[in-house]
Amino acid sequence: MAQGIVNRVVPASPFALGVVRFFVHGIFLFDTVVTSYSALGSLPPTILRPTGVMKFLPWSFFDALQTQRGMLTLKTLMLLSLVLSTAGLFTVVSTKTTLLLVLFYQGLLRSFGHFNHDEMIAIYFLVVIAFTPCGDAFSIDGRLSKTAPQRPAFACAYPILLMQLLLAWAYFSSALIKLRVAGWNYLSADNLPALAIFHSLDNLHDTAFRGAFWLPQVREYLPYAVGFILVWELLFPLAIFFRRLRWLILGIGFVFHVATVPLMNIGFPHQLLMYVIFVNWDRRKLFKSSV
Amino acid sequence: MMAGGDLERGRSYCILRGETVSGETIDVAAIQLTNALYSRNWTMVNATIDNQAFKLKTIHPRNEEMLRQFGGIENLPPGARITDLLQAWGNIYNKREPESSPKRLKAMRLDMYRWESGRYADYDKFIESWRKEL
Repeated sequence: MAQGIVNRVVPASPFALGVVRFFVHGIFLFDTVVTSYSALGSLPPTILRPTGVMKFLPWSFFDALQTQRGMLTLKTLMLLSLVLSTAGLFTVVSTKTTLLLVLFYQGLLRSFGHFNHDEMIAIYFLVVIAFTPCGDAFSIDGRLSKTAPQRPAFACAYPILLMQLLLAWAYFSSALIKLRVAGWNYLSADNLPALAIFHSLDNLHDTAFRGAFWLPQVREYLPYAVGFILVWELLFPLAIFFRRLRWLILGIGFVFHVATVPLMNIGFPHQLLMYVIFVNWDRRKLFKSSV
Repeated sequence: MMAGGDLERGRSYCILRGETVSGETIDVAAIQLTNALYSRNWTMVNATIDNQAFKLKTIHPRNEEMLRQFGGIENLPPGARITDLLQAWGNIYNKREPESSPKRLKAMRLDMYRWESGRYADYDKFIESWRKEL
């Protein structure tokens, strides 16, 4: 029965999993290309606060890393690994080296700043992808292989279902945490304006929109807006099981994440891009081949 | 926004500025200097002002040396390493400007303000400033 549900709600082909690998790894490849690692290497290691397993690395390592040469080496390794894993060449190895390098890089960023959760879902996806047969199709490995490996359908379907569940859990647990930390005060009229204005006062955020200063004028309506988003987060798991609801739920998510930029100067581009996991690539392929 | 906002709670924030060789003071967007720290530049600054790098179990040898000079963390001024950060940001900025450009910076500054809060007004009470000649 469980197998039946999985087959009904998620794509099960190596092609679908290959597209997801290409997309998720491609996003990190794009990030790496456009990011100035030399600027990052200019920051002093004396302001670092290593987190998690980064604490086990000696300071001499960070001293060597926070240099132009150290960052050039890191960027070169990341580019090499990400190009291979995105293209699907030596996929079994390259998806794992990419996972390790991206994890390390994200750990370094979090040692400078706070624990930002925008990229977290994409990192979880990297973990799942690294241990799946994601190079069987939509990859150079798949092209080079003379025989297509025979695998049961769940080998590709379950990883996709797991990634959908992870994304749904991120929203659902976020709503629970908000209620646990702030309780019903979370729905107070000043919650959103106070927070949004705070994030719009400095010039250290990524954008400098001033939309937050308009929010106090409509503060009496804001508890409804905040409550709506809270309910939407709690209902997000329905996107996995009900195809008709899926696009409505994802559509609200798109509007929500886009709106946080002009209102709060906080964006979630990586999390938003991970909605790609809900696209049924098998159907799109069938549609394309039938046209 | 896990905990949500609280209008009654005051909040401090910082503006990054540069003083150009032509005598102008300009706002400098941190994201344009260190885009790797997307969404984290402001928390990096807050952590540096709070001297969090000095509160670790194992601290950097140069920070240990600084602590010895000050005689302990309780004697350390807020933002003990902010000038190092301003120096790094200033160098990154100037590297991107031609040698003859009037937009090159002679100093980098971080100005801290406070929104005392309680109402939607008076957002910019000046608190203190850190400055680094480049």
